[in-house]
Amino acid sequence: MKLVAEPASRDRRWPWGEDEVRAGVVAMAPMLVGVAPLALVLGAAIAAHTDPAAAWAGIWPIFGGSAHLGVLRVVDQGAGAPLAIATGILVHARLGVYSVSLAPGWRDQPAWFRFVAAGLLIDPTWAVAEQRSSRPGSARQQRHHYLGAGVTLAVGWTLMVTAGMLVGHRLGGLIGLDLAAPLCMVALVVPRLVRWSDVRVAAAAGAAVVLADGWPTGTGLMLAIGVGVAVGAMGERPE
Amino acid sequence: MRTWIAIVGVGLGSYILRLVPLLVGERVRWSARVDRAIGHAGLAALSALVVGGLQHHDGGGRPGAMLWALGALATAALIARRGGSMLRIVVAGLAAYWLPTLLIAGVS
Repeated sequence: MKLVAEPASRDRRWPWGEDEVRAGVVAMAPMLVGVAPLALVLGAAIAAHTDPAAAWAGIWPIFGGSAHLGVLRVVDQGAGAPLAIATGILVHARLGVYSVSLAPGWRDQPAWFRFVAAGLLIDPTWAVAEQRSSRPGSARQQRHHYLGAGVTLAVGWTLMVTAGMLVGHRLGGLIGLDLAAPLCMVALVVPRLVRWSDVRVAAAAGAAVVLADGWPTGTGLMLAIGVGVAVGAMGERPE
Repeated sequence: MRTWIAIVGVGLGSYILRLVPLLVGERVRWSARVDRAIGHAGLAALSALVVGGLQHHDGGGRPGAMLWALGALATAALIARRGGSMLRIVVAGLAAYWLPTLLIAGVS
């Protein structure tokens, strides 16, 4: 993370930081394609739920497809609200790790931004924030970039889930669109593979998530993160 | 009513989970070692999302779908290595998946 003094850039002409907002929107656009299949599946699940209005109302508070689906499934199976809440929070446990990773770079951000940013934090917005933080820019520019990406995702996600309520059940498995999400992630992983130790971290995390297949949703990813951190730490010892 | 309670509970719990590190991060200065560990966590999470996405790829029963998906990721990695934009990477990856799938569907 490189924070530099606020430059007299084109960005300053616009109080809302138009250039960076636009860049955030552009960065998020391909990821919207990636999350489209999950949005459609979630929409179909909401439409089939016993209380569709309540299920739909969860789009913004939960703001995550896998956790939202998990909660609806648990409720549909007749389990109580506490179990559904525990399931959703467990699935979202990784977001705590994402938040920890962004915190050092956002020390100079105002409090209001952190309150808003927390509500928008999910895999695609985190990925965009990570990518932006690897380039120079002021706190203000990073903030506008994140907000551009986050609001784009929020609007797009809401529209796609709602569309999924109408047509989601007809579009399952549509021509491999579900691959768009990992393809977006490839774009973020490959530039980070600078040293052999980075490759080892990536390989170990990938292997861990394969081995944890079938574990409760979200726990495999947590294991992969833990294994990746451990392998990375071991690789640092000789230095 | 159960759905409403569950939605509000998960929404609140998840929000607190995301917010607290962002607020505490202002007061805590991480050591260099912790900073590096956090960097590894990011790379590990992204790599796991790539592999998990491939693993759960819904090929819709098309022949060789997993193979073409691997080809799509390899193509994407190659373009990313050369500094391609995310849009170009996704379009090229999907094209690398669709072309053989459509060709085989046309032949059979």
